[in-house]
Amino acid sequence: MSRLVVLGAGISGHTAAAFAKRWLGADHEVVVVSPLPHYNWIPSNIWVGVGLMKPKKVIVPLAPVYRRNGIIFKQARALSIHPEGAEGEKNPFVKIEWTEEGKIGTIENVSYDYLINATGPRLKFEATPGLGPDKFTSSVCAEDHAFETSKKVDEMTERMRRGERQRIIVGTGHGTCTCQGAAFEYIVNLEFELRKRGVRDKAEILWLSNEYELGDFGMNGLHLKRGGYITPSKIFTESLFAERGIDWIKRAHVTEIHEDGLHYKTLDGGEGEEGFDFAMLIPPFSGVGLKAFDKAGKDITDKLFMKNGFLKVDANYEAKPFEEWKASDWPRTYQSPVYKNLFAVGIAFAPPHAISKPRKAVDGTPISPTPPRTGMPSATIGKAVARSVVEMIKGESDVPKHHASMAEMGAACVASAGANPFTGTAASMTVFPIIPDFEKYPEYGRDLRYTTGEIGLAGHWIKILLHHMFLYKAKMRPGWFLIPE
Amino acid sequence: MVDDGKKGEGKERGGSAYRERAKDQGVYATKPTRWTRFMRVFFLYQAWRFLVINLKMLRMISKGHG
Repeated sequence: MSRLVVLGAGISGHTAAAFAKRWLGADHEVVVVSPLPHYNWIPSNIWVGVGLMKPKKVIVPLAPVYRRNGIIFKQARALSIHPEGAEGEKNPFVKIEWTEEGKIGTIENVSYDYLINATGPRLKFEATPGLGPDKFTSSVCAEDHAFETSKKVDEMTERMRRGERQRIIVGTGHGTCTCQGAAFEYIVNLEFELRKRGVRDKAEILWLSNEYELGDFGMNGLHLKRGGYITPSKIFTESLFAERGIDWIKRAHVTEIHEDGLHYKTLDGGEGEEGFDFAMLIPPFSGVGLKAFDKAGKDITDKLFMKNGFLKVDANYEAKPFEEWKASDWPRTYQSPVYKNLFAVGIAFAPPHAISKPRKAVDGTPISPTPPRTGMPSATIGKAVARSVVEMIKGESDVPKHHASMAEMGAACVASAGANPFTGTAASMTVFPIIPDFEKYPEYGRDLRYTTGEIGLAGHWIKILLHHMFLYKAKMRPGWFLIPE
Repeated sequence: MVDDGKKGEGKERGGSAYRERAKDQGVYATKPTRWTRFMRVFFLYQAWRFLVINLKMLRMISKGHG
């Protein structure tokens, strides 16, 4: 009997564990280690953050799901990987610290034959002084953050109902943030909600982002065929904001936040200051800080992980200028080049470089988005890696045979722009491939036949459908595996 | 939107040249016509788009997953 250990139960880790167990059956063990007791369907946190949904509607308790499906669940955080075992322990293992009530702080070594690191990001609020829900800004990165944010929106609404004007800033809280898409969804949903509550005229809403142009979304933007033109996403995003009376500041790195305002610098060397009554700013991400040790106990973290804490996989990490980046730099199997039984999926794998062109301010401060790798690609990667590992466990292959390069796959994204079954809208986008391939598609890097987008009520219906479908899938209800990633 | 530079309590707030520039940007952006805005939420047309978008997504998924 072999044991597969999956670290993390987010979109990627949960997908990998669920499919691996389905394919492995009772002959082998699948163990999931996750510090939280539940799965969070993060895309719907936006609706929690504007008060349209309760947190319990976007989470799934993991223990009963895993019990029902024969997956062993350990509510714990991973501390270190020991891929060669240790003195007196010949098997590789992961050191974990339990977070479950009654076992909090208990340390355990969990041995493995195969390990999938799906630990997701650490939210680096400390990167900008004053950033984060414990300081002066709100967040929707987790369902509890989003719920607290919704309370602040309610308080702000009350102030506006009393006639007070309120300044709102939404965007990125640091020059190296990713996940601009989540902030974009939040700002347009918040604007929609304030209109619904009849207080929009009291709100001044500002988008502040590290993107070079609006609509970059960490993907270097995208181009769509529309109305007889090939139009960049910048045009659509600016239009959405202009239509809603949202101002914007781009190319900005937030340097400091205080109780009712923030300071920022921009790519052109300028500096600015904005006051706010409410701000929702996405933090930069890093790896969760896993350590690695060899058999002798020597720290080999640098060998396995990049400096930002993400695990090195089969990517080309050679430092080179933007003009020399290639689609083939991106990983295909997500296997560690050092240990063949170690993989990383979702946000946990180290991307070879950004997708958006990297830029620095005159003083050297990097101000450009880092690459997103959430949602659909995360789940697709999790499933492909699970398939490869299962075949290796069953002895059907010595090497990972299933590929899920972000440079060879597309993604569908539905960005809510207002939640109402009759008057709501959402931007429905498809992009192929996610990583621009300028060798194959010289002009725009993408296949414009499969890169599409439109805004409308239909998108909102799809967003609702996806919410229910993916929560059903996360619960591993009958037929869950038929739902595409 | 009117920037009166003040919070509800009347306290002086920040604000910068960048903000002033930001306020101008919207003037030069593309905006949808009334017809476009109507079609975005017109039930029958959106029911049709719902089918089309789903088919587009399935086509893209079938191309890229493997």
